[in-house]
Formats: sequence, structure tokens, C-alpha cells
Amino acid sequence: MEILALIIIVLLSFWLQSFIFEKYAFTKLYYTCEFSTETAVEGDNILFIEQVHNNKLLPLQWLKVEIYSSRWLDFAQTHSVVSQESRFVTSGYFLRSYQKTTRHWNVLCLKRGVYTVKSVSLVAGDLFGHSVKSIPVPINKTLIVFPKCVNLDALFIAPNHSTGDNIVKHWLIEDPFILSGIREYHLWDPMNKIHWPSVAKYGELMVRNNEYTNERHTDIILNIQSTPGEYKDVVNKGIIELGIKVTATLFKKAAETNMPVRFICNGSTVDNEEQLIWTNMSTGSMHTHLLFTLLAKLKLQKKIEFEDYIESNISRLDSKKIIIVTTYLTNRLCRILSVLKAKNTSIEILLLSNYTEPDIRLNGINVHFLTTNMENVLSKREMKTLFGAD
Amino acid sequence: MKINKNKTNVTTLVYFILTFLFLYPVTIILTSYFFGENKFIPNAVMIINTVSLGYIAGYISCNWNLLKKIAFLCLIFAIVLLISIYINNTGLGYLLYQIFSVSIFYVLGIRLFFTEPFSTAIRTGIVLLLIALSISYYSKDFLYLKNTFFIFTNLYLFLAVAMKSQENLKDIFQQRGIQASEIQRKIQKNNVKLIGFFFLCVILLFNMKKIVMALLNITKFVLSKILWLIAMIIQLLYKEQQTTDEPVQNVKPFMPEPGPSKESILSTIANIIICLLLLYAAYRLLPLIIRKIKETVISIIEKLKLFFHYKTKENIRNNNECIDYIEIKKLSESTLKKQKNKALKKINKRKLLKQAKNPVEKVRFLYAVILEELSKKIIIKESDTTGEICNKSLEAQIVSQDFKDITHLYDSVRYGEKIPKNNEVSVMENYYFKNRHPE
Repeated sequence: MEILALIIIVLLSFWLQSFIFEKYAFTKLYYTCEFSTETAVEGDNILFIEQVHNNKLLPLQWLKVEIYSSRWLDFAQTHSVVSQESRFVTSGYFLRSYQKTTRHWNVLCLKRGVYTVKSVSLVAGDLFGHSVKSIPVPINKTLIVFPKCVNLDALFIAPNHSTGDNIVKHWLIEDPFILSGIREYHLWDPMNKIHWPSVAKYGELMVRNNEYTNERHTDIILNIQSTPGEYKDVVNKGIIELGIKVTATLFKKAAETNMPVRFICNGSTVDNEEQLIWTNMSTGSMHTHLLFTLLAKLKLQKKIEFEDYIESNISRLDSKKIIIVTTYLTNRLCRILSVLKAKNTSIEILLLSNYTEPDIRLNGINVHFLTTNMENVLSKREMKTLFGAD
Repeated sequence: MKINKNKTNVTTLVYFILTFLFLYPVTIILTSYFFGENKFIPNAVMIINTVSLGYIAGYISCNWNLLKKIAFLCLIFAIVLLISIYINNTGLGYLLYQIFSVSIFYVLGIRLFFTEPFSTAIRTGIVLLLIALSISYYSKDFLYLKNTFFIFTNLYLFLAVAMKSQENLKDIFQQRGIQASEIQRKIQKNNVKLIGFFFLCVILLFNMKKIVMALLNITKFVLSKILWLIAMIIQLLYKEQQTTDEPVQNVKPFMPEPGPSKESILSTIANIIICLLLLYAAYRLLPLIIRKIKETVISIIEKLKLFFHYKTKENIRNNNECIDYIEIKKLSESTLKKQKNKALKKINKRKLLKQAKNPVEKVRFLYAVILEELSKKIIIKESDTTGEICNKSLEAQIVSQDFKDITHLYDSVRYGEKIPKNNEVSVMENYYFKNRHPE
């Protein structure tokens, strides 16, 4: 009887613990995870915070959390498996009664993009790992990684102006709304410019001094194609990513000088694949944030041939300055741009590769070529992320 | 189960012990049955020899070709035999038996763990152990082996289950080629402790009857001792009244006779003093004893907590990749209380209004609760006047035009010392209870 009793007790204990853990493992178990910030810049170290609370008396001797993330969010090296574009991370926990564990993962943002952790799977089981149960937990947490700015002066070789400086527009009439101060009256000054309060103060005739203004609106155009006649998906992704970085730097420079800019691209964003990018002309931090977000969301896929896009919208390109970031230069594109050049529009091309059609006619367009010593400008990690080589 | 090259030394040792644990009871029973001798130590030495050499042979021969493997195994087998003969040089019959048993152990025992799946080996071991245990329980000749086999069975079960669960956990966490991490190692370590605790519970359950009996006996003993002490005290009190001829065991108290002598009075007083002293000593000692018991229990609990790494708050760094912040707390207990209090407050507003003694208090109370509701929707500064609050609320379109009248009434009551009429109070009351935020 005693042997039988021993067998029964052992088997019953096995079954009982298995039953209890299977039934109550996920009861009052709360799991949340989030990124420490909503936006980050390439190369930033952020935190991925997991919080799990076992709000019951029954301890959980093991809990596995399966997280699907992007390979471009570098974290959990020994706990993760990278395959193609995704990263599979397992996070293990040992939870006692009423234990709350907050796990901070150090995440390195390797590449720009929009990264979403849609859901995670919680796996728990009995003491002996015999019976295993899992449940999905919706998370929907998004991180936007903005592209990192680069040193444009070091990255591009400036064109040699052998024929002298460019002629710039200067208005004959000063802007009556821009007041820089007051000055003494001259004979040729009109009467309506006299500033009477200052006359009373200084005891002599004083006039308002106005400034000359000029439109500084700039169009920044990014060609998402890496080669002419590309089908849909970008072939040389690294060079386009570099183009995105260059565009981001241009946005930053524009924001620093408070210059109104418009972003135009023959691609679309991941959340609105049908809409081609053509933003409003604006300035300010909100606009810059929007532009950076667009760059982060930019899908590496062309929607329309670059030349076609520019040609069809040439009438809408009314800015005095156009900066084009492209990987190639064709005669057709130069012809289209020469139309704009004829309207006294300043055109600058930042060429990301040395690919130009033979016998190309630039028609006075300034072309900035990419330096051959990129290793000196970009960091090793950036080079690895962009071109996949150390 | 094929030999896993990554098998750690600990795992190998556990396999070794497992093999020994299930082989030893079988061999000791067989030896005792055939030869009627209790050769515990020689048998154990022989089994350990067999098992260890078998493991070494198995490990080394894993990558060798078949011929070398056979040669090596034969050599090992011969060494084992020689050792066993040397130890148990007791005639041909015994020698033959040893050859047979060594063959069985070698082929079945070692090969079982190297070639068969782990679960098959475990099951075979459990069956053999249960058979041995049954024989020891139900055969009078082997009754003396009962406790040894019981310990062996439990140890075997614990090790086998611990090994199996470790394998399972490895499978669970090492999916998709993820290497064992610091976290996983900690989980596995804790798991072994929990399994140990589980088996302790199983043993306690199995011996429940004995434990209960032991506890009852202890209680009985303590009670009898207490009763004896009480009896002794009573006996001490009535010592003088007892006749010398009467046996000491007879503790039946005598009724004091009327008119006692001087000596008996003195002795009674002395006894009373002794009793009081004893009671005082007990009174002084009892808290000390209780405190000591409490301290002992707390220290045991603390040691147990240390054993399970139980800390209410700790930070753990895992491989510089992540940091764990651990805290033990019950969620939403306080928040639930707060919510309950809030709900009670809301429910009791009508009651509180009724408690207001005069209409002035009622108006002030009602205005306060209206402001409380408004503060949830608009920002009300301390410096805001009633008029400003009214304008803000009207601009935000969260109140009707009636609020102007309410504000006016409050101003006149608060600052104009006007005593409001009952109908004015009821208008305000209706305004609040109709427009208040649904709870």
C-alpha cells in the first residue's frame, strides 16, 4: 500500500501543479512594454522597457516573452536571433508572488525608419516545463527613428566656378514692412519716411530705414531611384539611405537659417503608399519635424520615374532655389532642369554616385559630386549599416 | 539519446548518479537473494567502477570507428571484471554472477543513457526502483533495505525530474538557436530549487501520517508535562496536609481542616510565596521565550528567503544588455481604496448637503461641489474670482447660462451676507444634481 501511496502522491502532485500552473499562470499577470521615447535619431541609444507584474500569490517559475522587432533596433545580442529584416527576442522571467519586474533593454537605433512592436507572446508553464501555454498580448508601440545628419562639406566636392560668381537677384525697391532702424534724412528720401517721434527726440530730421528682401524659398527634391529605369524596389539601398541622410542635413540647415522649404520625392511613405510626397512650403520646428518624420517613413520604392515626375510638375516648381539629391544624372533630367534654369532658378544637384550619362550637358547646373573618401566622413558603423561592409 | 558533446560535467555526473541509483538496489537484492550476504560496500564499489568506466568508454569511443570502439569497450570490460573479481573473490558461482550482473549493468545501464531517449531511461529506472522498493517493503528478508531504497527512489526521482525539466526549459528558451543567457541560467537555477522544494513536499505528504502522529505525541508530551507541573504545584501547596504514609503520586488535594496550626499557616504562606515567585518567573520568562521563538522563526524565514533570492527590491544587471528592477508589491490595493473613498464621497454629497444647518452653508457647499466638478474640465487658479470662473466656464461651453445666476447668488450670500431663500437653494441644488458628471 505504501508504494501505491507513494506513486499516487507523486502522480497527483505532478498533475496538480501542472493543472494549477496551466489554469492560473496568466491570471492577474500584467505585461506592458514601450520605448523610452517616441522619436530618436540614428545612432541613438534608447531604452526598451518591459514591465511584468505577477499580481497573485502563485509564483511563476518561468515566463518567456517573445518579441518580434526589427533588425535595425540592435538589442539583446545573446537573447535574439536576426533573420533578414526582423529580430526575434526572447525575454525570460522568474516571478515570485506579487513581484513586479521592470526590464530595461539598451537599444541602439541603427537605421532610420518606423518600428512597431505590434504584439508579443507570453509563454508560461508548469514547474517541469511539461505543459506549456501561450497567449498573445497586443502592444502597438511605435518608434520613429530619424535619419542622422552628415557633414555635407566633407561629403561633397563643391563645383568649381571658373566663370566667376553667380548672379543673384536683388530687388530695387526696399521692403516697407522690414524695418531695420532709423537714420538721418537725405535729400532723396520721401517725406512719408520721416519718423516724427525720432525727429522730436534728436532735434533733426530722421527717417525709417527699410531692408531689401528676397524670397528664400527652396525646394529639396529627393530621387528615390538608385538607377535609371529601376522597376519598383530600390536596388542599391545603401546609397539611397545616404541620400536620405543628405536630405535630412539639408532640412536641418534650412531650419537653422529659418528658410522655408518644400520636400518633393518620387516615392511614398510606409503609412500612405499611394500618395507621392509633395509637402507645403513652410518653416519652423513643426514643419521640420514633419519633414524628418517623412524621411523616417520613406519607403524604398519608386512610385513614378523621377524625370516624369519633375516634368509633369515643372509648373509647380516656383521656388528660386532647387536642390536635387539624386544618384544619377541623365541628359533628359538636365534638359528638364534647364527650363527652370531659364527662369533664373538656382539649381544645385548633390550627386550620390558618379553615374552620369556620356556627353551630358549641365546647362549651368551646379553639380556636387560625392567624395571618394567616404570612410573619412562616415563612421564604421554607418558604413556597415549602409553598405553592409566593415 | 545520442551523446551530446556540449554536455557539462555536472550533467554527466548527474547521469552517472542516476545510473548508480537505479542499478544499486537491483544488484543488492540479487546478491542477497543468491548468496544471502549483505555486501553493501563491495557491490557499491563494483557498480561505481562499472558505471564510471562505462561512461569514460562511452565518451571516448563516441567519435571512434567501430573496431576501435569494440576493442576499447572490451578492454574496459576486462578491467571492470578484474576489479570485481579482486574485490569479490568468493568462488566460481559468485564470479559468474558478477560477470552476469556487470554485463547487465554495462549493457542495459550505461547504454540505456547513451543510446535511448532520456525519458525511456528514466522510465526504466523508475520501474526497476519501484520493483526493488516493493520487494523491500513486502519481503521480510529485505525489510532492512526499505529505508535505503526509499531514499534512493526519492533522490532518483528528484534528479531525473530536475534533469528532465532542465532539458525542457532549455528547449523552451533555446528555440531558434538562441544561446543560453544569464537570465535563462538564473531561471534554470531557481527551477532546480523549486523542484527540490516540490519533492520535499511530496515526502512530507507521503509521511503525513507519521508527521501528524509525531506532532500529536509532542503535544501530548508537552501537555502531560504542564499537567505534571500543575500537579506538582498543587502538591507543594498541600504538602503539609498530606500524611507521610500516603504515596507521593496521590496528588488528590486535601480540604484544609478548620483551625489550622501555626506551622501549617506558615508553610501555606511559604508555599503561596513560592507559587507567586514561580508565577512571576513564568511571567518574566514567557515573553522572553516567545521573543526567542519569534526570532528563530524569523531567522528561518530569512534564510529561506536567501535560499530563493527573495528580495523586496533589487536591481540585477544581465550581461550589460539589460537591467532588471525588481519590486514586490500588490497592485491597485491603494488605488482601489482611493477609488472606493472617491465613490463614497460622491455618494455622500446629498447626505452632506442635508447635514448643512442653514441655507447659507448649503449654498456655499453646493458652490464648492460645482467648482470641484468644473475643475475637472477647466483650469481654475486659486486667484480666479467667481466672475472669472463663470466667464471661463461659459467660454468653454461646459455650463449653461444658469451658472451666471448661481454665481450671482453665491456672491451675494458669501460676500453680501444675504440669507438665501429656500427656493433659491433648491434651484442651486437642482442645477448641481441635474448637471453633475455621471459617476
